[in-house]
Amino acid sequence: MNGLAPEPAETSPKPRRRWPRLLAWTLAFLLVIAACLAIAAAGTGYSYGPLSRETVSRCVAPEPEELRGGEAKKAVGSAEKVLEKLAPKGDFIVIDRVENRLYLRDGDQVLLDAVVSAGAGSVLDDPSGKRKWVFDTPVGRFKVKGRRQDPLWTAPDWDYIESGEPFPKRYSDRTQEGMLGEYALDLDVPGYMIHGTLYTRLLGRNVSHGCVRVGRDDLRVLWKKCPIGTSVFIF
Amino acid sequence: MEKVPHRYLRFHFLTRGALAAIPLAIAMLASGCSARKPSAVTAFSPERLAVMRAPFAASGHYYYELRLNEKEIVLCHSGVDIMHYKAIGLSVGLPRAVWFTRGSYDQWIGTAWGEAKLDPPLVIERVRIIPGNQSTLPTPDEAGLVPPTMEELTPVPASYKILFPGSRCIQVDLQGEITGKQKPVSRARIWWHDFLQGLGVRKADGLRLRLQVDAKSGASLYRTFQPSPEFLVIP
Repeated sequence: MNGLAPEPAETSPKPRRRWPRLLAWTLAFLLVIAACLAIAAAGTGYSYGPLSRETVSRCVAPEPEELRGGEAKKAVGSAEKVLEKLAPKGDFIVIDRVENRLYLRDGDQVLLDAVVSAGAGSVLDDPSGKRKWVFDTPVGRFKVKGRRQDPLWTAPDWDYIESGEPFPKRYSDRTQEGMLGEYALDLDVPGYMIHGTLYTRLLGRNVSHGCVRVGRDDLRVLWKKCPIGTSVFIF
Repeated sequence: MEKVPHRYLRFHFLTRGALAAIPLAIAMLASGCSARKPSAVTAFSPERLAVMRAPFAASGHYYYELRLNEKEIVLCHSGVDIMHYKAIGLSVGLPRAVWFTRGSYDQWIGTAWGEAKLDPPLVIERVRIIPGNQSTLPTPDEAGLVPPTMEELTPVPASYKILFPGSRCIQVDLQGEITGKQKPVSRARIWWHDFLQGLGVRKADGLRLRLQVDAKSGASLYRTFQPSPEFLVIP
């Protein structure tokens, strides 16, 4: 013993734990990658911009050949003649068969806005399997071909099949009074017309078999304003 | 001179860098996402419009006019405006990948875009009538089983496309509540589809017009969409 206190035993330095730092760096790296990917993804797809004058000047097609040279006047004249010939003469009817609306128009001016019932779009199969009916209102441009006051309705085959009744033996037994209201405007597509209805509570819904059903007061206006030849646009 | 600690300098540099990056990132995002108000487009002369319209008017079918200045799609027949579908916003888009826009505008104004198709296609969920089932038929006093309206039979998606040959497309985004039946739309799926198109993995639309339309107009346009119509794109 030399009288001195014993030296403490030398301890090895505590090993620094590396994994928290490694984890932090990995997370940071992943975050940077994710941010880059997000920015790249945000910039991928479609780039939208306003329709500026510059865009338009680049995108307008050159004038049609008809409008260049000496024939221009003739081309314009013939185009205007076509448009004038096709334009409806006087008031015309526009029918929106989805919204169940009828508009009586004079040019862009709406004279009558009526709630109507257009075709139900339903399907009826003849039990014999030979025939099938789709009750759509036809689409296109038509004309009023005929006008009838107190019209009679001649029930077609589908009416008997739908109601499960036998076909009448005589053709005259098919006619029914009052079903079409006070007036009917026959269109130049066979079997279709604009007429009145007993089912006024169903106006505004698609319930007809293809005809356009109109309420009494609106039908009276149409009767007054729509002579034979009136154009009818159905879409 | 007082010595600035090294650690402080590094922090200061990082902070400034991050702060500078924020407006840059905002500007980059804004340039891709915003739809600024488009400026007015030069109008065509009435002569040119007449020459363009005449063949469509004479076709005997419905056609559409996309009027860029008025920001509207108009259903036309025989040169007559039948129905107007007003847009709230209109922007033009090109595909892009990682902020780099691909492609360029061709001459698409003053031309006809033909054979339009809806995506997703229009489906009418028709009702099949059971022959002879009297209990479902209406009478003048009883409503019977009221058939669904066309709005209930024709589901409409909140966003749809009108596709044209030659990879042109009009995207219609509906704003507001759709009346009638809705077709579920996954926004994520639309984004993913656009993303793949932007990357070039899927065939992209060479030109896409995006119209923001109120839900009523947009749904009406979808439900009354005519089969394979022509679109006349005019300023």
